[in-house]
Amino acid sequence: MAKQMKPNEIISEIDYKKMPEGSWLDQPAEIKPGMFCWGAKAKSIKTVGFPNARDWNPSEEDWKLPENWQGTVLEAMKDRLGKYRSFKLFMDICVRCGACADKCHFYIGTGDPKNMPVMRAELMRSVYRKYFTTPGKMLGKLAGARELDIKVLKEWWSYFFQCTECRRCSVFCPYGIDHAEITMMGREFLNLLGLNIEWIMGPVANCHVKCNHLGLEPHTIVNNVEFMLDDIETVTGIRINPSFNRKGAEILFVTPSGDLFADPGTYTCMGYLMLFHELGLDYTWSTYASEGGNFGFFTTNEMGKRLNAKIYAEAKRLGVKYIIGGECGHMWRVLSQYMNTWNGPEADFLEVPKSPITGTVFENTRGTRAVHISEFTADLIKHGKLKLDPSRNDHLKVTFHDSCNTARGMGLLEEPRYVLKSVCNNFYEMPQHTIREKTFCCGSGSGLNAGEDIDLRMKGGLPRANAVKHVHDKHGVNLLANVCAIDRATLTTSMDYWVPGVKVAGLSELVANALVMKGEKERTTDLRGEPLPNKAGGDQ
Amino acid sequence: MRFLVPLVAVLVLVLLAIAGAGAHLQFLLGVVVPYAALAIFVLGMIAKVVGWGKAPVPFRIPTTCGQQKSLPWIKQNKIENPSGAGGTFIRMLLEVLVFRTLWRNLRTEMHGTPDNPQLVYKSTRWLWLGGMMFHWTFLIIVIRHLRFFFQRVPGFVQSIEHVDNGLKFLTTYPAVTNPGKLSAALHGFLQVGMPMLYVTDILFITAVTYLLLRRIFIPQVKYMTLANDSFPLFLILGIGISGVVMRYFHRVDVVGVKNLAMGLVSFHPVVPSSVGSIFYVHLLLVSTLLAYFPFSKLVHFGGVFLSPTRNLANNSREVRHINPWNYPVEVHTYEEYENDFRAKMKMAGVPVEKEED
Amino acid sequence: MKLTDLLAEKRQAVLDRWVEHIIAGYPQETSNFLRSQKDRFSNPVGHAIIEGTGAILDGITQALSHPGQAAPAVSGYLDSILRVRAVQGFAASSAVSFIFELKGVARSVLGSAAQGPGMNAELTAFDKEVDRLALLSFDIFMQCREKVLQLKADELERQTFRLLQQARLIKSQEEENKENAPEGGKKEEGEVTR
Repeated sequence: MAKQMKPNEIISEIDYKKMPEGSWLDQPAEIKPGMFCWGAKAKSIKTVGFPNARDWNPSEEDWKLPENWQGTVLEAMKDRLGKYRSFKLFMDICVRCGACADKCHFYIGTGDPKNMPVMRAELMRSVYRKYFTTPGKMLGKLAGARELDIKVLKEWWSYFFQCTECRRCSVFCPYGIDHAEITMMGREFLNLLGLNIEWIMGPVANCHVKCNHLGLEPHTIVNNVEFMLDDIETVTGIRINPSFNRKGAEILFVTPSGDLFADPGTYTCMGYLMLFHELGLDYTWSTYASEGGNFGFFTTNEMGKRLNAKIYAEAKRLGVKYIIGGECGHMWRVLSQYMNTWNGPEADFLEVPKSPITGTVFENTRGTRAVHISEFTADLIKHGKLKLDPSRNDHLKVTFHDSCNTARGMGLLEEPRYVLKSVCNNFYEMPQHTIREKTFCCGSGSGLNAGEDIDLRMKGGLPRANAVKHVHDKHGVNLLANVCAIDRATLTTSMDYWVPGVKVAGLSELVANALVMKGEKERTTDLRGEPLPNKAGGDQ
Repeated sequence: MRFLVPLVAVLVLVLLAIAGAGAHLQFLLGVVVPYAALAIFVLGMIAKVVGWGKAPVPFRIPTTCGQQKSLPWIKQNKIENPSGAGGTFIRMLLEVLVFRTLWRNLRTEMHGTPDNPQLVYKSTRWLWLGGMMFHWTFLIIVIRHLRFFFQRVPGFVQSIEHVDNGLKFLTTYPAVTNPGKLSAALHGFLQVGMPMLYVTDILFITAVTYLLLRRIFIPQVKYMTLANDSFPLFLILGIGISGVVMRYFHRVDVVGVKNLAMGLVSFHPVVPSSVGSIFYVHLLLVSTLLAYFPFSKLVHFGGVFLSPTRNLANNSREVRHINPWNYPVEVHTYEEYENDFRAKMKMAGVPVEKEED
Repeated sequence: MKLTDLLAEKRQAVLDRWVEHIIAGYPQETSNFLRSQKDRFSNPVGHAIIEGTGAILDGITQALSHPGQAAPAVSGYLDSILRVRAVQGFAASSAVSFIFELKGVARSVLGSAAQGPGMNAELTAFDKEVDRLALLSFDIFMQCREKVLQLKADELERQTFRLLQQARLIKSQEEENKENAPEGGKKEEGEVTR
């Protein structure tokens, strides 16, 4: 970031856009302020028992690596090549056709050619060729192979933390090469050397011990919810009384802890509370399974599994029948494609989810027994079980941002749209190749939503914001709805920079605003305390 | 270096073949090298595919490109987000046969007036077109070559040749119905002194040239290009050019070639004396391609079938996907958690398992 | 011929040269992408530059041909270009330099036609207008940088807001107990929520 730079750095800045001539194989990465996140702290690394716990600074020369770190990485690489067909295959079959090149939000925003997905993967492939293929061993650089030295390692660190694992490239790759897989492997190796970022390791350590990323202790969670209940009462006149860690409940509700704490996620959280109250749902919150998200997934496969295990374990302890999950992107990637494989055998006592209100059996969740809140709500609305007044959202012109993970790792596309169209009268889609499976990342996913890399985040967020700006200019869109906690936090910032005047809200917040509850007083404001459209001028 | 070294390498191969043919090394070039190359190709590809196959697929990670199967009244996209074997099969079929994914490339342009802007969607499908042209004509040309390996040319090979010779029909048809000067001239050009012209030959050379030129002239693609990319293109271009030269300009003794080919497949190799050196150039380049194949990116030919983001059904919420190396991990248990926070939980009215430490 | 007429005549040539200058500041692999990818959604950076330069040049021409009137607003277009550059690691000086480049670009495209009699005064007016926009650009760039800092602060506040709210409410509740006036406490909470 320019303000933190020394004068001589600024001078060198001026020419930096000119890339040196020659092959990319010889061009080291720059660790630039505003573009990277602080290194993981010793304390966080130690908490989860990861190796090489020490405090370190990425912008310093010495990264305090363990001895024989090359050996460690290469051994792990060999191991993972034998464990993941995806990894082995994706190392071999890329033809560098370039179809993925301009599909990455970080390439579009930074213009750095190494942010073309194919190039980010080549950083890894060049090392793979050197140590694991015959032509690479024999021909070296001519075959695009290079040794794993400290410069290459730093390049890995820099670029594998400039990828949000959004998988947009894999939609466009003719062989389905998913660069998220390569980033995940890259981060797995880096973690063996204690090279992660604090914005990921801190939450992971928190989540390990305190069971959520924000490190909220049980009484804090309860207090936070209490405050939301106060706000709900102010708006609706209804006092809600949810339960925590209650045994014998039918349903365990799990949501990212960001919803409990950070605005505007809290309004989404109020939405859940109001919806479930109105339905009279027999459900419970849990302070132990108080994190739906999984930053462990952004460190190593094993850590992802360790954190995820708590959800089924808590379901078992409380004796619930099934799970409903809140609005979160990567949480649903994990719940859809990983949870049952990792920890499924622990959960065979659960029952196939069946809506107690409509009787609908969620056949598609027969294995995980975890229903997405949008699936659950869409079913309710379809059966006419909710009394809705969409005109309460008439002051909003809404567009919908598909989260990368729910779109490309699940296929949750129509459910949230159906809900949205039922609770809002003004809905406008963004251009077709910026939504659904082609959706652009918020620019801050996979644990990159820190403060210190704000320049990177704004650049990565540009393609998404640009599409929002189009509907903002054309239709006057002033609200960006989504089903992801990281979106709620980071798109708010991105909109503030790129498209001022567009706010960000979770779907359930809009549902709750439109929801006509039994015994409620006449509402004059929405959940944010802003006057409702037809009550404008109404006294507060 | 990324272009020059591979180009020189291919030229050296050409010279080697010419020199070899001149030095009476026909047996080496016509029998030993092709057998060795084929052996390397077959064994190498088997080793490669077995190597991939041995690595398990620990997680079910299809890239979903359409609506999932969920509530009965929401229409699932059964091909882009398949939940069963049928949809997955069709998805793979479209991928392999018509390069469905490359077809997906879209761009929008702004049209209309500034007051009334219109978004127009356009496709950027040059790469798709180039890829399709290249792979399909390559396949057809390989099939056409089967005529050298059968005593009686199989019917389907003849049919393909017949269709491939479509250009003749195109020129013949107007020449008959409307004998204008141009079509007559074209007809004459294609007939006189020339064998039948195959459409695939033209398309193939065009496609390879396009794929090569985009690597040289599009800066982004040039940046990512390695010798590993330009070498096979130069090699394939060399094969195509030597083939075309043999067929249309510097004809070789086809009967001799066929004898050699039949000898190879029947394991009674014979070396005809009458085949020109240009044939050995062609053969050496093909042999090089075969031998190089398993060690190069060309293995995508087999790999595309194994890609876990495409060849798996998205049903991991419905059916448990088994990871063969899944192992138990250390979890911070509820008991440990309650021990840490029991007092605070009680204070907040959260039920606990044990009242006291 | 007047300078404004010359500019109108050679508009596309000036713009092409100008865009080339701006885009040449990026790595070659990227500059081609910025130039050739016409899709405004796949290429927002290139789109902002191409659309913005056209509007800025038109704005200058208009300001020169109607000297008495208020200059047309081009700050929105400057903003689109500079907002991107403000997070792309440019120093302020290089981020706004593209405006100054217009002087040289216009002179080299117009060539000898711009050296005709009476052109001096018009060129001076042209330069002055460019300078005005350059100063405006500095302001916009600095606003963007400040905005980035503000974003960080705002984000932190949103992340810790509920904690602060709790801390303040707990405190205010103590005060409530002392003063025995619960309504006051409630009101304060409502204010915090704004």
